[in-house]
Amino acid sequence: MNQRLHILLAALVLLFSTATQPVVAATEPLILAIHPYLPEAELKQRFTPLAEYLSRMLEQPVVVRIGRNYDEHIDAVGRDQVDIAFMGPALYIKMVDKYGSKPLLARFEVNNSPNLYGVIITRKDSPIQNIKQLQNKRFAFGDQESTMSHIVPRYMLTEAGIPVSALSAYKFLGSHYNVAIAVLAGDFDAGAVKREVFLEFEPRGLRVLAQTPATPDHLFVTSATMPVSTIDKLRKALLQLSKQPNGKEIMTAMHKELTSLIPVKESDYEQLRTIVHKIEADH
Amino acid sequence: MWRLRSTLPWLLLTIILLLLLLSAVLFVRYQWQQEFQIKQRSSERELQLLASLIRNDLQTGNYQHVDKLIDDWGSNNIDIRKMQLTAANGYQFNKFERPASTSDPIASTAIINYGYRGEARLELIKDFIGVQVRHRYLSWQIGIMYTVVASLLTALTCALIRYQKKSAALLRQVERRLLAEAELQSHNDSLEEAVASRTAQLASINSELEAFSYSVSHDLRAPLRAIDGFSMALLEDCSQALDQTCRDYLNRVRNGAQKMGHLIDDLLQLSRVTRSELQLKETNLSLVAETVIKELRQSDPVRTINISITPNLWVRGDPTLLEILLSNLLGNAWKFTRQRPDATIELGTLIKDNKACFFIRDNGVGFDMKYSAKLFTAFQRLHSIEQFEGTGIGLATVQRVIRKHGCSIWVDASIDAGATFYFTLPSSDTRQAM
Repeated sequence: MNQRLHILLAALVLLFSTATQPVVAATEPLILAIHPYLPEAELKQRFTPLAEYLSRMLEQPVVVRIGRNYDEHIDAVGRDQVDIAFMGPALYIKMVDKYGSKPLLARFEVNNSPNLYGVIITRKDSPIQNIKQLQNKRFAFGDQESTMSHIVPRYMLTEAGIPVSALSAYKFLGSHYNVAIAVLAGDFDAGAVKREVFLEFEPRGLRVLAQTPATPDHLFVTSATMPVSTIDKLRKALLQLSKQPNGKEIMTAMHKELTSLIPVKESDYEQLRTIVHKIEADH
Repeated sequence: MWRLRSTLPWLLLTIILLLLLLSAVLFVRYQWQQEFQIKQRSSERELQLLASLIRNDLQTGNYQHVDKLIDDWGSNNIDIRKMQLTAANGYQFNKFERPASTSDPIASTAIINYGYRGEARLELIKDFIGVQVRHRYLSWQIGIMYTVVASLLTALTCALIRYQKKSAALLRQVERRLLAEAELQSHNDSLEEAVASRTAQLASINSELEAFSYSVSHDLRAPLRAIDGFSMALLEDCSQALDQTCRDYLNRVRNGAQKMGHLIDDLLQLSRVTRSELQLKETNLSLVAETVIKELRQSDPVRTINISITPNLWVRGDPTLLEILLSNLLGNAWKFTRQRPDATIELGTLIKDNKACFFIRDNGVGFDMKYSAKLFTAFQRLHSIEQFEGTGIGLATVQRVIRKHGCSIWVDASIDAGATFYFTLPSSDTRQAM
């Protein structure tokens, strides 16, 4: 009698395991795509906790994918080849211009501020006091696609009557850090960096010439082909991240001063879209 | 001089050790300079390579990487004490620094020109711990080697000085000994010369003496024969004309002349024994003795005497001299046993005082051994001529025969108990050895 009961139980366990495993195995992992604003290894390290969090929330595997470059990232997102994408504001605008809008999920709130700020910097001992004095000066930008180290500051210069043609020289140094160091070393009279980089290098001899207007920060979008129910689940998971027990840990991994992920709408990026279009027109 | 010789090795050792020390110091210093120069060139190359990498980064605007490069480069190279890049405006890029580990760092600087008026100064300070460690190790090695060599040289010098002292003492000893030996040799030579000279003198004197005594003896015989002959002629031819007293006188003259003749005969025999050349032959001493006894029996046939001669006593000697020897000894025995009714004469051999010797024993009158010292001297007599006739030359002749053969003779006797003469002779090679 006991032997029959054991066989029955073993058969049930086998049936249960074979019935559930194909569901998990059959589920394609969602791709969380990140634009390559930092080395790939570091970005993977930063966003893996979020991917794991989303896997748990969606009950579906989520993997991190780092774009080979900005254009490839834009193309992958625009063609719905990735499921979730993290993008800088200027990059998002370019993607929309090229491929149309995508369902928005959430955007960064850094230091309890929903907006991103950049600064135009110079050395403390520099005679330059405002951006109008940058005519015929050497200027350092970060990445050409960077919102805070190129697009917005360049717009500000243009608005101040200093188009890049009025500069004696300008150069894209690839990163905010390079810009800060280059200005400190005296290789450039001024440069553009995001505020957090400026704050890091300020003690070494930098000061602010001008601050960019408030710009919505980085955001998460999803594929246009994503089921609505999944989009809802994703949005809900991201917006509730700060309330999760390990939410702060996940957010800190992505950005040291990230305080929460907040709702995002297309209109948040209208002003920036205008700036981007203006800059592109100048090219 | 000796003081100088004893201090000279120490002086030389001190000079050698000082030279060695100087060489060791110079060698270590040279090695250090060589390694230092190599490392200096290496440091220069490293600086140029680093400057080139930094220049590339600065030219491409990769400033952030410059900071990382300085950090990484410094961390991965334990010899780097300090590395800093300073911009033309005095801005200091990332700086790498670690505590000093050596007292002789190598500092080098490179100016990096990049981009538009860009200029930076790269300063590199290296400690080269490995060089210092190797240098310290080399210094220890050289130090230990120097200590070992110095110890060995000192020990060697000590041994050398000890050897020198010992050899000097030995040399002095040898010199003294050689001097003594030379003196001894000189004495010996002079002694030998003196002995040879004396021997020659003695030989000459002996020769002259023998010649003289022979001549005298020989020349005396003619007048003696004349005296005896004419005395006998007077007695025979003029006996009637002479009274008894005259005849008695003439008889006394004849007796004296005859005695003198015997004396001369004995002297001549002694002289012949001395002068004759020794001719050794295998001789049967027993036969010689029997011949002598036979002659004695013929000369005195009345006597009854017990003779015992061990047969076949072979010797290697001169037969003529051996006959003289036995004639004298057996003759004496015959003579001094005259008064014994049971006279006995014996010739044999025995071991006496661990020596094989012959003996001739008799049971005659013997003599007092206190006079034995003058027994073999010529003209010495232990009995009066009235008791026993004789010239006193016989035993002197006997001793001369024995000595001529390189042997010895001695006697044992006592008054009225007879006498025994012991003598040795060269043993026979093929017969009975004595």
